[in-house]
Amino acid sequence: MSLLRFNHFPGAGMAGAEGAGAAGEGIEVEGMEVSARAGTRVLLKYRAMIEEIGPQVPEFLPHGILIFFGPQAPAELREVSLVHTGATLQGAIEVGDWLCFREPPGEGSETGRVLSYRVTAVGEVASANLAELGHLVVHFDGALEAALPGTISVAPALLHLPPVGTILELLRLEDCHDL
Amino acid sequence: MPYRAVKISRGRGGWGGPLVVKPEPGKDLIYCVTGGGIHPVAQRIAELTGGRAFDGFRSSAPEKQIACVVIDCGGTARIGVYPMKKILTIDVKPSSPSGPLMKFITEQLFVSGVRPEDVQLLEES
Repeated sequence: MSLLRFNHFPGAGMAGAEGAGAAGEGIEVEGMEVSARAGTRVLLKYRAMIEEIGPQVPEFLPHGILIFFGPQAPAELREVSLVHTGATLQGAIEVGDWLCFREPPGEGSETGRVLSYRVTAVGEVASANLAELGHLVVHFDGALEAALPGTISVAPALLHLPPVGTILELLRLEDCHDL
Repeated sequence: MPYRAVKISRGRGGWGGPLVVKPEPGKDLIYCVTGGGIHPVAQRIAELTGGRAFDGFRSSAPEKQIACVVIDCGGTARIGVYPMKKILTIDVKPSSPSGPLMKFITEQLFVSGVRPEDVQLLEES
């Protein structure tokens, strides 16, 4: 699974849970902005924890689709959704952002895996849905145009479902030249 | 007050319908899952039919009490979940069937692009 880690992540090692051994310092992303390493800063746009996974979520996996909803979602939508704690969206989702799943520590590992996906397309109502309802539909297809107004596309493909307890993040890495 | 029936037609760029919605005792919720409170389309359906506008993001209700649902879906989840449950579904966005659940989205269960003026009292003869 190591291929899924930060190999495709510019500025590898900025995401805290990767820990020591990477090029960066393994910092914690606490606030909205933290410096990741010299020349790069991280803009954290959204962070919430997955609390519940609906029984019909696996049916969307063969389609490469995950549906997220915030804590207010009614029961019938929870059946198809990963329900999370919700958060305030700190900036519109943009192509080039990163969707990160920080999995909880599992058996025999002190830090959970961090899987990162690059945003390749953003539908026109995706940010509004996320801001208002915690609702986001992610297509893991790497498409350059969003399939539908409410979807975003990311790459690479999803290999498995993030478990309950996973921290969902949207963030942007920005070059910063005014050191 | 007796419930009355409305005919809900697709709006510009919309798909499906027309649907006829008539609440019944115990099944009279005009169930709004748009976020931002009761959508004007749901409000109008409730006013014309005598049904009760209900915000699905604020409280919960059994599915069997739902006369119809009003959504503003960008195309994957809500557009399919309610038709899958055979609930009459009114999308205020001009969406067409899409997503993994699209096989459940039929003209008999779903209408889209709906504006308040697309909701009209049905003259019952």
